[in-house]
Amino acid sequence: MEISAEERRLAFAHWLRTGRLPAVRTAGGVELKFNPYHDPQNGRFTFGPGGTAGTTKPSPRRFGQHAFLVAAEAEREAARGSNSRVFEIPMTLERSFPGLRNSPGGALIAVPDNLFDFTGPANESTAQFLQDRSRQLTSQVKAIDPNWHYDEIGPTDAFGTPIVTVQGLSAKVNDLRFQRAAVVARVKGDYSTLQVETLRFVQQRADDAYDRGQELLKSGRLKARLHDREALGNYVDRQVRKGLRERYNQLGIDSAGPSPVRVNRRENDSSDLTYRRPDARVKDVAFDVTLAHKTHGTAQVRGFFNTDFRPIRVVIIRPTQFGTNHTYVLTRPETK
Amino acid sequence: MMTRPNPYFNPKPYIPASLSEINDQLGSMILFAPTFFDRTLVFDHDIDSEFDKLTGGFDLTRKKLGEERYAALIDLAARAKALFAADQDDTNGKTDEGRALLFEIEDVLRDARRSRVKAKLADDDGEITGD
Repeated sequence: MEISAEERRLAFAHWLRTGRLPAVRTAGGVELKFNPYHDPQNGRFTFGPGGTAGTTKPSPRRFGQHAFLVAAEAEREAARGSNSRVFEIPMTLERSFPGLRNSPGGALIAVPDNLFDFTGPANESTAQFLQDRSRQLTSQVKAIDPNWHYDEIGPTDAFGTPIVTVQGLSAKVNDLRFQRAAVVARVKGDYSTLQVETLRFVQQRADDAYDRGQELLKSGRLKARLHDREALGNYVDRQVRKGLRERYNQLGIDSAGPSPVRVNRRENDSSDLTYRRPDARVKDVAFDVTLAHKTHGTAQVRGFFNTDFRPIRVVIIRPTQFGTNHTYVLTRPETK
Repeated sequence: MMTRPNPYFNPKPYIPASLSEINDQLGSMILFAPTFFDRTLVFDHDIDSEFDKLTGGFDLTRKKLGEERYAALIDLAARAKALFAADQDDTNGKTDEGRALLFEIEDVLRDARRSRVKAKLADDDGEITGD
């Protein structure tokens, strides 16, 4: 029986979590009739997308409306269906951005807030939740490579007992997520998980740099040759790129060479002998950190899509402080 | 107790390898002086680790910088580090003096990049970008 790459990935994720392969629906005698109001992932009844949003190619004039509809659909998708994946960590951009998988070319998909939930739920069980998640991630990485192990160096008290804090546990979970992504990339040659973790890492650093930069600007302690906003954007970019190079270096990923993971490197466009420099590239996805709202109409974004590595997506990352739709994915425009 | 090295961990610290990478390193340092503490807890940064990266970058790009600029940059970095070390609580004004020296380093780097463009010297990719 042939299964799609997405089904294979979900089956793999299920096996990692449970140690069991998922049942094949059709072999189990369950027939899922086609119905546009059934979630194709689990067959459960859900609400239809409505209108023509899902089938109409957006024109530049209607783009804003289209983006709104796609974002609204994404919110509905996030809310519907089985809750069996509530604690599953999304491993691909398609899973991280509900609505992205079935979106037409040229769409803009806003990021769901929970992708950047760096600390997990804020209640008394937070520490237990994070420890469970650490164990889950550790076993997942070991399943991919039994030689991998986690070297933990954390603060200890006077008796050498580790000091465990929620912030420290949260950092550990984020570290394990990034390590898992790096191992998946290096062992399986699959960069989709690293795309998600790169996005999360960049978002966290951009938020931190934006806060710090604003604080310094307001107190007159940051030199701005340009307009304050441009200066701030420049500092955020630099902080993100520097951190990303260092993070990849820690995991033995060369981000300055010809590998599919690159930070601020030249990407050629051989059609007109020019080039672009995305802040980062992970295989077929480009990442741009900015304070500006950029769309498919932005020359720089068009340039990214035209480069020889033919990105299928450009992720625009703006500080979370910008509010709703701060970060979004632009899908590759359909060719005429 | 660790019995074998993690095969995915690179023990060599990151060192900026081009003028633009040094510029990014510097931008980060300007923001997070004087302690350079990483509030996201991803990195174990401190004043020594960050200045090691900066001066390590100067070493790697020494030829591109030229001896005069290289010496000036090493001197500026040493003075900035001493000022930050003397104001780890950011209370006595020395952090601002140190940050002013980091801005001077920025100017020297900018001057070096302009010179390379003017002299039509190619970067590692064969383009004239100042790198």
